[in-house]
Amino acid sequence: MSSQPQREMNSESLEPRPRTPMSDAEARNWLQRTWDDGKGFTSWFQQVHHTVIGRRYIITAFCFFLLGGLLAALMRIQLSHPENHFLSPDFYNQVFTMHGSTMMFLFAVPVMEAFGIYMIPLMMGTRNIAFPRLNAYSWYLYVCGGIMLYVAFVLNTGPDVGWFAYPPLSGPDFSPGKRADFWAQMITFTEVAALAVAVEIITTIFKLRAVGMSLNRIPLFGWAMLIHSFMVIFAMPAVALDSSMLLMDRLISTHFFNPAEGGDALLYQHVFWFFGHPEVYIIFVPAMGIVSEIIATFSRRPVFGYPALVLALVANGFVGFGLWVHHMFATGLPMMGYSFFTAASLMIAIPSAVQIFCWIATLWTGRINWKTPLIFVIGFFAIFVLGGLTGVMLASVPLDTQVHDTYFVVAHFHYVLIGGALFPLFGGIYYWFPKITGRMLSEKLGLWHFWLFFIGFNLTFFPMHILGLKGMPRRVYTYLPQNGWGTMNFIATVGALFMTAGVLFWLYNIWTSYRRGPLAGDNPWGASSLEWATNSPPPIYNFDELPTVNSRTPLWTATAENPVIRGLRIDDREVLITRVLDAEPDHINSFPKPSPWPFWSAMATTALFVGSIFNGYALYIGAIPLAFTLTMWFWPKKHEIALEEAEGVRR
Amino acid sequence: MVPSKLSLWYGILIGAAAFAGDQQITYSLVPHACSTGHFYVLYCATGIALLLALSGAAMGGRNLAVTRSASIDGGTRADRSRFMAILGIAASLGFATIILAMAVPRFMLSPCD
Ligand SMILES: [Cu+2]
Repeated sequence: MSSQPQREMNSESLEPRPRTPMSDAEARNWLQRTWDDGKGFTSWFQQVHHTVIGRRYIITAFCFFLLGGLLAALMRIQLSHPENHFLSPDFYNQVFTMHGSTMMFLFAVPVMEAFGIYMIPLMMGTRNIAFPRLNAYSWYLYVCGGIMLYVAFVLNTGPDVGWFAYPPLSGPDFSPGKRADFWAQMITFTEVAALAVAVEIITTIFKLRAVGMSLNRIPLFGWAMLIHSFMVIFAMPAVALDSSMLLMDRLISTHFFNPAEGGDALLYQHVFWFFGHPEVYIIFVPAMGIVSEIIATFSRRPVFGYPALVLALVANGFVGFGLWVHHMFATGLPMMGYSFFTAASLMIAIPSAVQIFCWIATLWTGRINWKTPLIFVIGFFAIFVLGGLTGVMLASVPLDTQVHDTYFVVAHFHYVLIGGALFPLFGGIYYWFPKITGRMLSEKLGLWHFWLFFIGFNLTFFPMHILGLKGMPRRVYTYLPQNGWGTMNFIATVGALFMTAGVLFWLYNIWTSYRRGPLAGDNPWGASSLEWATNSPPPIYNFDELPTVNSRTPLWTATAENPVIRGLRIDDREVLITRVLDAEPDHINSFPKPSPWPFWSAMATTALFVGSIFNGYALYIGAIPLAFTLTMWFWPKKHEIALEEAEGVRR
Repeated sequence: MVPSKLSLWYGILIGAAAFAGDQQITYSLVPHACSTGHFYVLYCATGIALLLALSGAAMGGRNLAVTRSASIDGGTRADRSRFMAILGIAASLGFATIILAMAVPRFMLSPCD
């Protein structure tokens, strides 16, 4: 932001300007004109507002969710009875790899960031996300990475080495062709996008908060996204590095993971899981933020134990990085390593327990409003506790060694990820849909969705615990009748049918409610945080006047004489920058206008990434258009120079 | 008086840093300890980590005393400082517990198996 013109805050600049008196409607017109990103085909590629990009992110992530779900359905059909020939073994390998990669990299992380992009600037009470052009760039990159992976899949070049692509299986000797390379490069795409969003969200939370929202008043979803973003910054480079090293082993014959030439295959697993375990918390922590918001709103009281909940999120963020070896208990590491990581893995249950305690206490002492979002949260409790329980079981080395690579592990992580992230996320959709679209979702269809999905989920994944204990391995495309796994697998497939029906109810609900649902109004749930202090859907400038905050639950304690921030220009995209800890006004910053260059930069980046799958020289040649588009992106515009000069004179 | 930002952040972050450092350092010192029999290096590393974590709690306690009249819900610097001090105490004690929990296997098991 330092490249943008800045103004020091002083008492004079907080006076209303322009000085001529202006009606509210006139002021709104000005704001609309200033912040409007334009309509039409070419404007679409230039838009930079966080609600616009956030909506695209949310929709894209759920498209990938549906694709990943479709792949899961194919697997369940294949496994429904022994010796089935619905999918070929080779195709099955691609399908389970694509399912895992889609759900982890193209759905779970992006969808959490998507809600952060949409909600965080509103919750913080500002007009746009920090670095809005970078935000647009990240979305194009994410979409291109996803499209690339699916194009490869359709062309029978889908990755077939599992979502973590261990060498030597994924190395040049055992995976000739380009399948593993597409996986590795999809990682680069999505991780660059995720890192960009993390930087934006951290900056937004640290520097763009409403005046009065000191550190101890940030909404819990804000805290969750903050921890999430820091975890992304520390974890994602590890996997991007790992997959790039794999790509180099495959393309230019380096030997990072080749023991025959002094490399180390286990190094891949260490680096991967140094990302991979925090990844679980990267997905889980924002979901905890959603749960806290929903529970407070629907208990109609401030959440119990705010400091404890913040601490639990922070602890999750740190301890999550100290557990990665528990994914490698079966690799023959020294005994010492096992006990180290068992202890830490058991400890991570404590912050989760603290959070569950605080939530139950909130519900216990609140006046409960039983609506769909809360019901999904209750479903989350039930499933997540069971998932956590099997997690503690798996942290013990003997049990882990016994059930390693069996369906027990598959059952565990689906309980944790679907229970811990997808249920809160569904709750979050029912909660925030009115804010995003201006219309309520149907409660009745919501209940159908919940029950079908909840029952279907348990039918699908509970039998997998038993299958795992009976010894059914992961990633096999079929099994023999005498294995005795047929019944449980059949039940699991029936469960998947229920889940599909639940998702269809949800899609139907969105479709009809979006067009004909009852109008929501500004704050249909009577919630306390700032995103509900503006219209639904929010205008392109978010707030008529920037709000200030006088408590942790601002909308519940707001008074008529609550001050608002005046003095921001309405003919320029000005936002108020505040201080990190106390959110005191610091200076005013002018935010960027729409630009086509984030799009073109993303296209140049895509060309570079895709090209380097096939030829190492693409890195050199691809750097030229990338450098050009980035230069254009950051080239100062005339009005920016003029503004800067004017500000210089004023100062 | 408002506690310094540095002391508040110290309380919040030192426990986590000590935990991470202890895990990394003792893990990489195990082969050395096993080959030479110098097990005291492991105990030293863990002891230092524990002391660091506890120093964070002490710092938090001092900051808590300074902000005795503040409320953690309020909007003043003192209120916010008190909130951070409490966060620091709890985080430091929590990480001290984790450091201890990870040390137990080191005392109970022979690490060289
Ligand atoms: Cu893990």
